[in-house]
Amino acid sequence: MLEVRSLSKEFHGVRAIDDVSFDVAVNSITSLIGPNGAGKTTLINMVTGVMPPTGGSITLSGQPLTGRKPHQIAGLGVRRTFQTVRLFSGLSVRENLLIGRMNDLMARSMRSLFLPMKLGDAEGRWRADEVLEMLGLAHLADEIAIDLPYGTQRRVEIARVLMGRPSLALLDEPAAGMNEQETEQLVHDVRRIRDEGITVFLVEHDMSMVMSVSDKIVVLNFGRKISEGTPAQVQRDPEVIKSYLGE
Amino acid sequence: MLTQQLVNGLMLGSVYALIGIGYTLVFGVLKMLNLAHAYIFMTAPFMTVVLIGMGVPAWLAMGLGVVGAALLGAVLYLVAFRPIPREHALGGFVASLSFGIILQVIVVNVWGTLPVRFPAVLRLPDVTLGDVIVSGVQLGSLVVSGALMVMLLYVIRSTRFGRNIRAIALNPTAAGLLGVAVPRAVLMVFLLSSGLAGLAGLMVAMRFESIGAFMGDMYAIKALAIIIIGGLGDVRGAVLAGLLLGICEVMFKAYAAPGWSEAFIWLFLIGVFLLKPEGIFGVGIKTREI
Amino acid sequence: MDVLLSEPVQALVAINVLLTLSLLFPFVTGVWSLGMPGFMAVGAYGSSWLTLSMGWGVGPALVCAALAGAAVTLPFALLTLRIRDIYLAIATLAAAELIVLFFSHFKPTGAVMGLTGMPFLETRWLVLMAVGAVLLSALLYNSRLGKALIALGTDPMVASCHGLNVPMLQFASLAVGGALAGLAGGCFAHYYSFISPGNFSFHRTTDILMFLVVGGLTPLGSVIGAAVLTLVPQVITSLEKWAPALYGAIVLLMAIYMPSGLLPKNRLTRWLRPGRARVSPPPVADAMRSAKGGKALRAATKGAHNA
Repeated sequence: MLEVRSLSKEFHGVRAIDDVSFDVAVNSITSLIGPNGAGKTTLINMVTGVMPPTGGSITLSGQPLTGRKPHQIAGLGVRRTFQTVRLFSGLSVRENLLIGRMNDLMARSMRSLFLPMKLGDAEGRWRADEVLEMLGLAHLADEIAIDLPYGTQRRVEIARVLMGRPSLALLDEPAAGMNEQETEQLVHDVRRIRDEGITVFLVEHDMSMVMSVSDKIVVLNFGRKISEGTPAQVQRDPEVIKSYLGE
Repeated sequence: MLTQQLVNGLMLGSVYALIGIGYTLVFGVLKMLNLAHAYIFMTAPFMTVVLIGMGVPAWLAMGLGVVGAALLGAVLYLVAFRPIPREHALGGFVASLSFGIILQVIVVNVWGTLPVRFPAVLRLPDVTLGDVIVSGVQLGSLVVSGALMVMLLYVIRSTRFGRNIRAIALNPTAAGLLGVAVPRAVLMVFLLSSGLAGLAGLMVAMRFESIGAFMGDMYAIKALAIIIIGGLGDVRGAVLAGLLLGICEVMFKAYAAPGWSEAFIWLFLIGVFLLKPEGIFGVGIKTREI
Repeated sequence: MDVLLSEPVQALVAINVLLTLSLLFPFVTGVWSLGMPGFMAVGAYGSSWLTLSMGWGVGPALVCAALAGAAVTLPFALLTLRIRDIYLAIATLAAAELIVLFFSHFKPTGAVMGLTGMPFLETRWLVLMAVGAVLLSALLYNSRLGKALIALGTDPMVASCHGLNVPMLQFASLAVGGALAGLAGGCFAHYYSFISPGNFSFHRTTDILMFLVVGGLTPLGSVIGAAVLTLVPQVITSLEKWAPALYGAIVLLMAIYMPSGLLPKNRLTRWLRPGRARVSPPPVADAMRSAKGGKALRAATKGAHNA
């Protein structure tokens, strides 16, 4: 589904990402791990078009992503969450979810654009309620999103991703700041996403979570790929052990 | 004639530089724009006029005018900048603007909106360079401001105070943790930069022998251009940009079609934004993320 | 009370409301445009020329004024592609100065002497237009599109990743701002029947900024800010000489103590903070959010950043 070929990103002589290539299979859960500073968020930024690569290419089911603007890439069915939760301030949970509908509405029903969010776009509102129900957040639909507890905000971010029925979901350190219970819930949510037919690409630090949920793992260190394979394979790879534990 | 224009240009440039230094120093340590700066520039000569009117000897009155400007700067800091947290950059902009306008209104209400005569107190002999006569006042101002700028650059580069300021500009929290008395240093910066503004005001007052409540307005916005062109927070850049722009403006006025001398600075500024947004010395400003 | 409702005051408030809205629109989407005097000048001179030299009626001329104001925002829009926040503010300020300088030297529009003799536009039309603009703005503000614009302003990167075409929407809001300023310029020209470059100075921008700070960053806030600050000196006529100082003092106090403006429930306070530092909360985050202790803790850490 997602093909990354010879991807590179250089900042003033520092190679944040160095000739990285890997594939993400359709409807799989693939994880990217690596020590801090390995370039993981930079990679997601490049996939979503926020940052242009200095070399290499990224393709989504044959469609080139490199060179496109973020909103165009979102239009191709890519959604993401952020390392530090970034919900829209001042908007309720439901409103946060509905923001992603703008493009569809501009193409289909311009009238709804000028109506308040309570009216119009029945399809969107219905979907929003469906997603909130699925994640057990329905009772918080009208709360101001950024006033909610941190763990809940993370789940709202996931709801926001699901809302758009994307083909690819990129999750940037979704388990950050979570306790064990919340992490278990997250694993459950990630599997839910995959069950919806969405391909999941996950960047994470929490090793146990990654090992338990992934179909495939890609390991980065200093911007280079040092390993790729199933959790079992990666766990035994001496290169990986060396980079995490030192020699 | 060219030499005459050059001298005029240097003169204007020095005023721009002195005002620009103040703006850029404050931006460096607070990351906020001090719009009251040009109004302090305007107020200083008025304070001097009041003192002369009270019988204070001219030299002393001018010195006190500079000191008065510095003190106004301190008040400005305490009232308009200190209460505002760092993230509220627009708040600082607006608060300092308000302070400046209050000053201006006070001056307007006391002296009216028309120009006021500034007594020609300095009887300096005119100097002849070749076939050009340079007024003594101009030369004196140039010498004094030049000396001050050099001294300031030295202070920033080589003294502990200068280092403290640079540290605060880079990271105020870290500077504080490393022992720099941040509020005190920032207060000093305000005293210093406002004093310079006052001096610039007096220079202009002596040159034209007239002052007005609105004399600072043009400088207020032009100085914004100067600090961007010179690089935000960069004192060297402010000096060079100020001098450069002063000379160019005078040259344009003398030799080009009318209107270009004023337009030039804005065109240059937009050019800098588009081509080299970090300014002449490249300190770095924010460009868009997307 | 008579003074308050007198026609000249109504007209002034109406024009100020239009101008404040014109500053609000781009600002909400994250575009810090201080180009308003330039757009206003274009609208004023454009509509004056149409009625004086081309014999147009005031109505069509005003429509053109608004369109011209919107059109002039195009080069400004190009600036927004490269720069942000306070730097954009300065750049747009410079561009506006250039426009006004142009008119100062443009002989056909009277250069520094300005233009005079424009056909009069009655007060009720100005009030009608201002009210209409406020109503439309409020409707838009509460609509889907409005929420999208606000979201876009608070976090353009995230908005973009969710499918919002950020540049296009920012251009659109800038154009709306330009149209409103152009319209205000046309109204100004036809109400006072005299315009000159001096009417479009940076002073006007600073006045409008103050209205926005006092009223808050919503359409209703614009009205309140413009109305209050325009009317106060009228009411306390003995203070008229000191009016701007009064503005200044009010604004100073508000900038410090009430950054979100007079309207209490303004959620856009983040507007005044361009350095939107999003700190990743530690697992203690939940406690910080709910408990009072959390508030004190946050206040203490914020204090450490104060110069």
